[in-house]
Amino acid sequence: MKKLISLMLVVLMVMTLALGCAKTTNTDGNSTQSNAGEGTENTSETLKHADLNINFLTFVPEPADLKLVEDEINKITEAKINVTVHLKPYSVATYRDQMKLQLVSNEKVDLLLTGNLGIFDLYINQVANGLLYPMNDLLSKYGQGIVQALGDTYAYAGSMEGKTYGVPQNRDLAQGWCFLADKGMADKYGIKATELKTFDKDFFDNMFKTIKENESKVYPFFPGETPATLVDNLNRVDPLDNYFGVLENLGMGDTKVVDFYETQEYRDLVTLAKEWADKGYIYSEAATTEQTPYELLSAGRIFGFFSTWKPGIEGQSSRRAGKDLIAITFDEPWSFSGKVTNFMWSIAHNCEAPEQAMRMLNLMYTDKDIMNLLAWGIEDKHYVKVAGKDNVITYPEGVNSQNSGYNLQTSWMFGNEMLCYVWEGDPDNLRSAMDEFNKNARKSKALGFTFDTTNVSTEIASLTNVQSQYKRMLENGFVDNVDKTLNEFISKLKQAGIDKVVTEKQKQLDAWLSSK
Amino acid sequence: MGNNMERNNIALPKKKNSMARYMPFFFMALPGLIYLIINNYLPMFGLIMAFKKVNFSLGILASPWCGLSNFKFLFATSDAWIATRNSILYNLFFIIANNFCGIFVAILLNEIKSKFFTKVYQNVFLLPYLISTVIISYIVYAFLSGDTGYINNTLLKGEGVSWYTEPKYWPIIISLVNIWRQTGYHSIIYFSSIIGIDSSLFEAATLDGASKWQQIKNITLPSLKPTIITLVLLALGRIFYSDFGLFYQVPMDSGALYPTTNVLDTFVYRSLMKLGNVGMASAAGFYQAVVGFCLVLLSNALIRKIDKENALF
Repeated sequence: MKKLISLMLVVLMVMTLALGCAKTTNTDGNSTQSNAGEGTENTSETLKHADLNINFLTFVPEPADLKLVEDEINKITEAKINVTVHLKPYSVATYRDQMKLQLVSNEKVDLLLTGNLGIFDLYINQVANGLLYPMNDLLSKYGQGIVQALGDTYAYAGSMEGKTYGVPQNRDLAQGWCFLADKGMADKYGIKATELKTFDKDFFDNMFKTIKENESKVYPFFPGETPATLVDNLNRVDPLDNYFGVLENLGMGDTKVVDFYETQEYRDLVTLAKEWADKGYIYSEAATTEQTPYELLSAGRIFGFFSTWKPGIEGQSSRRAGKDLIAITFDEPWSFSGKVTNFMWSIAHNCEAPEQAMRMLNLMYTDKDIMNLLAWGIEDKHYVKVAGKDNVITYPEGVNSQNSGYNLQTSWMFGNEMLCYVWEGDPDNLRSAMDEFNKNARKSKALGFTFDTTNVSTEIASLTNVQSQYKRMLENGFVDNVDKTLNEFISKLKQAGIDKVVTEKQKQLDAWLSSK
Repeated sequence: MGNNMERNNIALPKKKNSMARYMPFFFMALPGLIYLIINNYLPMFGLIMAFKKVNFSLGILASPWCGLSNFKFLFATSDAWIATRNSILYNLFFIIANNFCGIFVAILLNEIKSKFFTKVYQNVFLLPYLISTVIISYIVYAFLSGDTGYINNTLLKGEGVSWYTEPKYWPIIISLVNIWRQTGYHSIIYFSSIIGIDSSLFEAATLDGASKWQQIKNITLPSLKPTIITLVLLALGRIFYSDFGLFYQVPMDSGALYPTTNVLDTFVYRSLMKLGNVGMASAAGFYQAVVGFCLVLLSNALIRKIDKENALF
């Protein structure tokens, strides 16, 4: 009897707690909605003061002078839109978990960096889980600067079922293709930076052969930015988020979704990978290593690696590798959803002042001072203008990358990069070159389409498992028999339901195309 | 223990008295109980997420129900079954091997007369248990790496094996790594039980002329039975869980090895890393917990049938 009573007590306690939780979540949901309503009524009058947390990630430890920069930004934002911002940088290693926890537990997040990259809890998942604030109305009312800077196609590229929950930065919004090679070694064998019209297999064959024959300790190439595979860097399809159902010809031909892994193109690419692996051209542990090509380059283990191309990449990669690199580019630049939506700014679902958040975001795309503060810090303290040049900056005397109080070096992250100064070492015209690159890029017909996985989540889960089993081995050529393994891969994908995903994707794509 | 309590209750004249008598013990247990409730029982509320299509802007309770659809991916493909099979087979083997090696080492430790060396050996055996799996994975890598690995360069000079693409070797590699890691930990538990055995038993046996082996067979092992049963039951409850690091880090997440290294935990991780679906993750946890719970109940019932004294409850 006593046992029963205590058991009941426990159950009761759990129940009350559960109900308590439910109540708080419910009221929170209501309050955001009602706040949004009030907000729109208030806008014509004086702006209400708002505190906004701005969450972003860094690749370096938290800057020492963060507070100083924050204060400078607040001088501008308090005067212009009555907003006080709090900069919240998180290390790239913890950003995903931090954001997930804070969003789920209803903490104050406001503005956050997100996107469809693995370092985030993917944007599409956050939308599916209801963690982001729909911003179409806000964009048209308070975010016109953003739309003007990006153009409609790019600004609404994150739309799902007609609603958008994030805007991409005005950065590199397209990609080319290239092979980045160690300049010192290239010079030795007369290999020069070249612009190839298309991917020329013989050209690379000859180059890799030269290296293989003359440099016994160096592997001719690494497949790409870890864990990207050779096929990732050489294919000509629009992956439509996840390669489960793709558009051929970079999405510029017809809009029939096909299973990438069954195409002749895929078979040819994995056969090529196998050929190069057998010849010993590809770094022998490329399928399992966690090392980056930059580490391998600076250790002198590889000659070069395949990568995507954008203006200024030679300089940036050289700085990362600590070695001069040259780029052999092939094919014209091209843009697709995945590239545009891999980094975006979003407003959190529980933001109490969404319209002020949008105003702040708008400033990040239109206000040169704010952008340069966020990107580079305070003038004369963290950077100085190079003498005789208006838009090129460098470290002040006595300051370097080690002792600078604000040295994020990620100007592309904060909004409109075209407003940022150029760091010394990059081409002076980098910003205008980038703008042109974005505007002139060929575009996939599915640019702006984002696949909603909700209806096929079981299949996606199974497919992801199959994909991770075969992808890195097969696409880097580390299999005994390509045809046998590929056929096995295809049949396993079938079993995991790829056809259902392709059909669903086609349905969503057709609906999206007709609504455009 | 339950028997003892009953006996005491019967012996005491009044119930009030017994309550008062046990009060201090309840107080002593209070912090632990509170911890247990907060840490282990309250989160159980989250289990309902396994049956919901979670939308955080609505809140967990207001999210729509979705039946069993979150569980589907755990049974949808042959890979899921392979992962389940691997989990069970590996864990069954680990239960046997860990306990066997633990007892074996514990008995040996007990025979060492020098206190100093007993401590040295204990620590040496325990060390691998304290090393992070990531580091262990690189120790293994130093042995098995195709290019620079110890085994390919010294033992198999000339005809190296590409260890990270050959699934057939991995059941052995994983098992060896696991035994190397766990033996020390298990041996300490058994060693402490052996120390607790009444030494007069051994003295009497020696007087009667029993050999060392007879003493182990007839005194040590029977006295260890309750410890063995407790440890095995606890391990059975976690038969669907596995050491994530051991199966993910140590094989370097190499796709070719999945047929023999994919277990439920890694399967779930790999399935959901792109989806980030809380409902499906909860479903996986729910499945693992329920199966484990049933196994514990079943095996305890079995033990109770065979040998009532030694059943856990």
